[in-house]
Amino acid sequence: METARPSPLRSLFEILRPLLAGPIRVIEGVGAYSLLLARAFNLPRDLSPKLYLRNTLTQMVQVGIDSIPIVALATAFSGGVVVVQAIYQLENPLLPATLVGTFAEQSILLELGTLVTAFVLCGRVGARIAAELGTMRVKEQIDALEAMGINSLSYLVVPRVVAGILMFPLLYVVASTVGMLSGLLVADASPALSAGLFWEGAREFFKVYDVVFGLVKSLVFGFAITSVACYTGYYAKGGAEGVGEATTRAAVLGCVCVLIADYVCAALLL
Amino acid sequence: MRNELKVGLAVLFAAVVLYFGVRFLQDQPLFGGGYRVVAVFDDAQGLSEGAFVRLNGVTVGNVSEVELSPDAREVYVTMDIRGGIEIPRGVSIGTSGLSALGEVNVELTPPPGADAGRPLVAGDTVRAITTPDLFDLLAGESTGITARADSALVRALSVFTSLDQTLANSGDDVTAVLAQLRFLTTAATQTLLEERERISGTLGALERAALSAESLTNDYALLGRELSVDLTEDLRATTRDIRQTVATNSDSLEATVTQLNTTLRNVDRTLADLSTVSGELDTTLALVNSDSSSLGLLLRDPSLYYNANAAAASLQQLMQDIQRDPGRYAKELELVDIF
Repeated sequence: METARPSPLRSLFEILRPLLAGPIRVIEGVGAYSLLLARAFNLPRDLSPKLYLRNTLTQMVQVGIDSIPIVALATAFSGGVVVVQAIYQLENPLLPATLVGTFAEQSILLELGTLVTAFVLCGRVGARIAAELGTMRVKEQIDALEAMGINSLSYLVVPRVVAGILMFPLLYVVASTVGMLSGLLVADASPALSAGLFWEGAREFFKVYDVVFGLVKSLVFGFAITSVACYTGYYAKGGAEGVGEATTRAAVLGCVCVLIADYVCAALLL
Repeated sequence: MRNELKVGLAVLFAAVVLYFGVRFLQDQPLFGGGYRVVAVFDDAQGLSEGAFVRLNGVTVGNVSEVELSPDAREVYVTMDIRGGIEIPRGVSIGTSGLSALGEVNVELTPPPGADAGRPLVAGDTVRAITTPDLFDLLAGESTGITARADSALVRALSVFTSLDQTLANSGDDVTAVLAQLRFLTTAATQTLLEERERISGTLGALERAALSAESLTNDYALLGRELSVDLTEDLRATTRDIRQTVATNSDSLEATVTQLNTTLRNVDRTLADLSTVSGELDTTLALVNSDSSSLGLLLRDPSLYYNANAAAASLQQLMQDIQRDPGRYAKELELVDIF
């Protein structure tokens, strides 16, 4: 007896199924992430603003104030490295020594101040948020909040994301200042340069828009890192293993989102 | 320290650092303001925002804005001059530096003479002079440069002529290389001729394989036609069987109708039983409606309704309180402090 042959479209789908599985998962993830944010920011009236403010302040301390030392440490070394490399690359009798200051100022204000801060905070803040929410999820504390009639998404996600958006610009200011000062120290210690020439170069091509651009980027990064961490933590599954997986995903996805957002900001704003 | 205080201090610190940092990088005085003066240029020669303004070689401010006039014939350059610096009226304003390297600055030169009158004040507009760029100066010198380039070309021509002679002398070497190349080509042709038989044998085998494949395809087509004839015959036999079965089972239809009649009689009996149960239910409802039974009291006593209503109101108040401040009731939901 002759067997029925599958339609060409179905055969094509069967061939492409393994290839499409990855992109479909990514699209589903984007959809779930968007829905989570939409539900979280749909603030219920019965949760008092004072409660939100108290939670947001607590998160601002954890996300911003407690991160200042590690951000300062990372950008201090980054600023120093930028100046050392600039001196090495621009060591040419035809180029003015002040170019090192220009190069350092542009690199730190436009890119390093935000990017190094974001990468450090992906590990510190993103992982912390994901682990916190993941633990609440696997210990059924989120279910308990829901049983009490509380919108757990608003209660848990909104303060963290708002704290990230508000505190990242502050960390950018700290990072840029420390980066420039460490660059100044390295320049002054170098026989090829002096502090005066460094500042002269930094001032020569400085534009206020450089700082505005950095602040806008830090707002975007703050939102991306905290919201992605909330998403991975809130939807954690399983026990301790699930929490660990959510933490790792928060750090990795946060870094990827930061890189994409970095390119988009540069393409749109520069 | 309270969270409000920590956050407030950090925000104030960042705002102060941001303000003074920007002022410092703009080369503006940290405290106290300066004043703005506008210079009108015919050609800005690559002047950009942030460029230095120098008076006798000393930086006294920077350029804050460069814009074209509405008719695009002039350029307005706004300069921020530091407070305390007095620029005498009649000052000569021009540009200096190389636009190709992006280092064009404004150069101010005071007028000659001891007393130049009152200094410039905020909002003054001054006409600038256009000084030629270094590349313009080079263009002026272009005639001399062309003559020197011409003599250099003549010398290059003589060098090429001598090189051509050298190549002509080494003609024997080129001939030897060509002879070797010819020998290699002949050897390759001979190899192909020797292998001709083996190549033709391989092609013959391929041709035979193609013929076998075609024969196999024909066999499969014949087999398919035979299978199709067998299947048609099987289908006809099955249809005949179905017709015979329908003719045989006509008696069993009558038996089914008989069974249906029996079922209808059973339904009549069930309806009679239902009528009896309904009479008993009426008796029970009469008891419930009377005040003598306990069920009747439970249904008719209004105090029970009021108690239940009050309990629901209390429960609603409790839930609203929980939603307003979950921390008060969720103290047991202690979060794990991981970092």
